[in-house]
Amino acid sequence: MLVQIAVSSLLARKFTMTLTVISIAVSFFVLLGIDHIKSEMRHSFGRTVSGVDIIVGARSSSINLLLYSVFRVGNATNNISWSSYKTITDKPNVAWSIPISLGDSHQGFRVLGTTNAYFEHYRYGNKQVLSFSEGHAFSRLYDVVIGADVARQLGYQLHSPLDISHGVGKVSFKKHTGFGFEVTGILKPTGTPIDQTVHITLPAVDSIHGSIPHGSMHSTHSGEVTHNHSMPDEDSHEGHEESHSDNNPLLSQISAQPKAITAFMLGLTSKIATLGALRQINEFENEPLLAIMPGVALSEMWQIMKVVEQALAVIAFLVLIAALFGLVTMLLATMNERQREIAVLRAAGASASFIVILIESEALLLVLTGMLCGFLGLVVTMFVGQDMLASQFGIFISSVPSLTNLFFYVGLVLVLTFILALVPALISYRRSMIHGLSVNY
Amino acid sequence: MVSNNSIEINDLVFGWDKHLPPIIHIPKWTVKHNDSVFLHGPSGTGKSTLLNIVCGILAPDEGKVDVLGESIFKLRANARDKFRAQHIGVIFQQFNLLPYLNVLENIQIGPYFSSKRDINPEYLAYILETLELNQSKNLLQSKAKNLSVGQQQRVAVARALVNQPEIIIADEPTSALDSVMRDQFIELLFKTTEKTESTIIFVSHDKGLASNFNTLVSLEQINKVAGKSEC
Repeated sequence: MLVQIAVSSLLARKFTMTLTVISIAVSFFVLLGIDHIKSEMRHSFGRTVSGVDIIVGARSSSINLLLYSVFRVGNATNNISWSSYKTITDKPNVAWSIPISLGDSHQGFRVLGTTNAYFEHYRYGNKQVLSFSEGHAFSRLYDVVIGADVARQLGYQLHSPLDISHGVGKVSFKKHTGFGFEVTGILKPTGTPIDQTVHITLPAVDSIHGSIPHGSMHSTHSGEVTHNHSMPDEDSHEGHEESHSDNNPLLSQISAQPKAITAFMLGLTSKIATLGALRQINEFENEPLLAIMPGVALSEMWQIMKVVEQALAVIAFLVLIAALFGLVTMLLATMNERQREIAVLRAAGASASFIVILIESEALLLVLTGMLCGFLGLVVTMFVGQDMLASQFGIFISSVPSLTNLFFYVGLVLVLTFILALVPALISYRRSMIHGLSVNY
Repeated sequence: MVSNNSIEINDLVFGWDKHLPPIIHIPKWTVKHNDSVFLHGPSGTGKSTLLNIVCGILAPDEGKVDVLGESIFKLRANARDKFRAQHIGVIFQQFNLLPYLNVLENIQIGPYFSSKRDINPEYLAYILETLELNQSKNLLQSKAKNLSVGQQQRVAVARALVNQPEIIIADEPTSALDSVMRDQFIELLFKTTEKTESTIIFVSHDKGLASNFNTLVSLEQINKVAGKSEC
């Protein structure tokens, strides 16, 4: 009966109630959404790289280096010469190394030039190895290995031909057509930015930028200033010793040495040597370099993010409080017209505590409905926004918020509602005690 | 506990504010069992207040109020509310119903608060029949706000009577009705309370109705402060 009265009473005031539910839904959506993205982002970033001891790039900030080398966010400020790469990786404490070259895109997906060492040594998540759902790693110059999302979204299969373009935008003014790139491998989904990456061989990167002469295609590369791939003097190295003929690229060609790379990752023989190696690279004399430990750089990034996160959390919480005050205002505003109903209930034998419980239940019912709407809204939004977040920011999130946090927030909101709704509830309690059953006062 | 009186009031004093003189002082007032009382008096003399006290909703400053032999202000608040639900049926002048519930649900409120969850179906049918509320299924299912005032007052009687209370308190129940409906209402009220032998306390300033009742009481007679203070 209590619930029946509460529900009927709410339904009788549909318009105001709907607005209140919407305001609560929106604020709960914001609160839960911010928390969800925050925790998913940490989870997603944390699992993107593992087993890599050191990342080396041109001297810039460590966070910048981490972002572009691992998360494909932002761009490098400068490149590393191949000779520096060689010098460092030839040291005895280096177990393996992965050179990477960034700056181009294919249909909005980042292109990463690397070697087969990438597929062999790169680890993500809980030290998981990259594995192929179809095909294999590079065996020829223009072989391409694509991530699972690239294959899915562009509908590529093995042996699909593709073009690689300059810059990182989806729309490129210039395309490197005619090289004969072909998909030879498709990676299994990893839930990391690798899913969104097109992998090509290092010499192929140089080839499309003209470091390795490419016959007639080379003449199209006159506007080098506009492209993002920062190779200050690449064009001066035409006729490089590693140049090859374009037709029928041979297996040996993929080990050709490029002029420069964007960054590289290192695995050391002993973890204890990491700090020493970091110092050596940072004090490298031939070129200004920056070496970072991914974990350390990540936690530096969280330190910066923390302020933003906390500010967002505070705002979300304030929005929620505002919505709850809106609810209480609405309840208070209807108290006068409800005075009659309350008199009727009291006359029929309702205790004053019944009135308090009735008003509390109405408030809690409204808030529960609002939270349910907000939650469903978030799930739908996340489901729709997943791909956008993954391709734009390299953040991989699940569409369902974690249940522990959900229960925490639901509990919190219910407690707050209970406390705030005591105001109208106790006012009507007091009124019914003071004025009795008389309505005209 | 057997008493001849439904209501027995001794030395009752009530005031809205401690700093003002009381508005009610009733040295003694009794209502006999199965009596029908017509209580009248000018407005502002505390008629509604007295009814609130008899219902156990407003507590007096002093004095003893016995209802059906029970000293109701010695009960705890919740027990007093339950006592009201079980033994007293209340009808107001207007707005007796929850507008968003249908007729049947409005009637069921009575048994809900008295903890007598089961309505005697024969008795319910009898009330509905007498009050002409069961002519169509639609009427019982319609929301209270869609009824005419006359229909609403009949539903109010049904709810007041559904628990078969010993006392019916009606606070100007006919003032919103026209004269034809008013007479009809009084007739129905007496007809439906015949079976239960309830005591009726009927408040009105319309003296034309007085002839229907056994006892005529002017609040000015029993209330020693009546007329001396403004409410």
